[in-house]
Amino acid sequence: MAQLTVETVDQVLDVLVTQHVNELDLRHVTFIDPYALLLLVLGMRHCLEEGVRLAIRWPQRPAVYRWMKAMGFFAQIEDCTPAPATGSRRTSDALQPITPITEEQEVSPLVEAFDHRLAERYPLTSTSRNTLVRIMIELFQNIPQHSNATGKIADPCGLAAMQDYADSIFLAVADKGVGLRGSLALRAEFAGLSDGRALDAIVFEGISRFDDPGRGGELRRIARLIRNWDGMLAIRSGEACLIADAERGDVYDAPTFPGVQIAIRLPRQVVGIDAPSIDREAFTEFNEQNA
Amino acid sequence: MNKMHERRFPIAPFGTRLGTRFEGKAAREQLLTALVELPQPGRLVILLDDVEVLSGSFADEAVAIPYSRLAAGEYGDRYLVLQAPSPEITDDLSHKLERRRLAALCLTDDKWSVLGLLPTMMQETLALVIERGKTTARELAEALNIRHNACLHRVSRLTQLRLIRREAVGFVGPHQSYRLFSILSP
Repeated sequence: MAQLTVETVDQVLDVLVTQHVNELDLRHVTFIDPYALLLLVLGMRHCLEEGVRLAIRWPQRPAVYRWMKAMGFFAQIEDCTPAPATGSRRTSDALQPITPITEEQEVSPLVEAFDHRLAERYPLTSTSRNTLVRIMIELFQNIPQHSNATGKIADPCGLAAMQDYADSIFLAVADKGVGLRGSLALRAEFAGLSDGRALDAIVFEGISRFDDPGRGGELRRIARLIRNWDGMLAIRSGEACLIADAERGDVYDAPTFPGVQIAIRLPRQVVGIDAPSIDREAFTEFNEQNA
Repeated sequence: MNKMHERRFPIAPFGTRLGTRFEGKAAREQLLTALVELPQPGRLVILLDDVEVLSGSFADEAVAIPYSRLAAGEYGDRYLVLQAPSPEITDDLSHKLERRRLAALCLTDDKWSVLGLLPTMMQETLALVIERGKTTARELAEALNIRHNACLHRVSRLTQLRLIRREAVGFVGPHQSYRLFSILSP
């Protein structure tokens, strides 16, 4: 496939996790979104834990490779597979590189750092900044709060990253912990749910693993907000993936993979960005031509 | 009526963008300490001035859980009131109170509103108590044109939620009689 995105990255996961290959050919990849990038990291770490050392053919397109490097991708997988030799010193338009999330105490400083990165690049309105901060606080803290809810996961590998595009801001948050089904199963009445049903219960019914009415409901509020903002939300857990935007909201079958992976794409206009501060596409093209 | 004591509890010292459950628990411990130290009858005003973000998680730990314990009768003749610079800042808190089937009085620009879950008829009754400052269930029933018995149910729920204050003033037949007070009154 030419592009690794929310819609296509499961094909790679299927190859890595289900078909147990030890080679991965990414040469013809021309674009990767942050969600797909995080799933690549988690997929490769999963392979390493399964004892598979992957041989990877990296993207040939320099802009893709540079972006992956600037996003910290190769640093995240250095123990999984050899990183490609690098000669390029050209800049990339990476916004917020891949950032590990481990402890709850780290969440607020991380959210501040993400917000700062975005604010450096764009003059966001305070309302949109604060709304994004609320979303990030809830999504980021879910990793230390829930990804190892059973206490049996050695490293849930929580990660977050963010990128801006000509039309949108894209936030991805992912882990390979117990997943939504594993979390809900800690309540006896929700044991035995399918991944799809667990996703439904948490996102649409606001249920949580705690028998406490104050807990839960955050993903439901985030989903509603993103829908109102004409954005896109993808939540993947186990073998189910919800992709929701202003017009649809369906759960799809996906190749089985541990944890929870979330993508949020928000139109730039709704977060107060009417026009890019610089023309990113032209910037990339300029760099390509002058390489 | 005994004089209502008042203390203020600013949230901003915990940060302007709040935050996680972990941070909320730390704020709750201090808030409950301030509540316990408040003389009775007393009102602790939770100030949200200078707070830019109040996440649902922080709000639940720091504010909704104390309201829940207050409604369970743990803190005697003490009350909580919120003061917010804008209604938007309390959106997530209101959602958490609603999930817990609780309600809170919130002051914005000297106007009060209810956060959380409180049916319209209860809000009408609450508005009348606040408007009058002090009253009785019988007076409320007449003003609202409802049966005294129905009014007693409303007043009982508002008292349990700590949205109004009542003082026993004697007996009418076998039943205890109360005088009702707004928790916003001096």
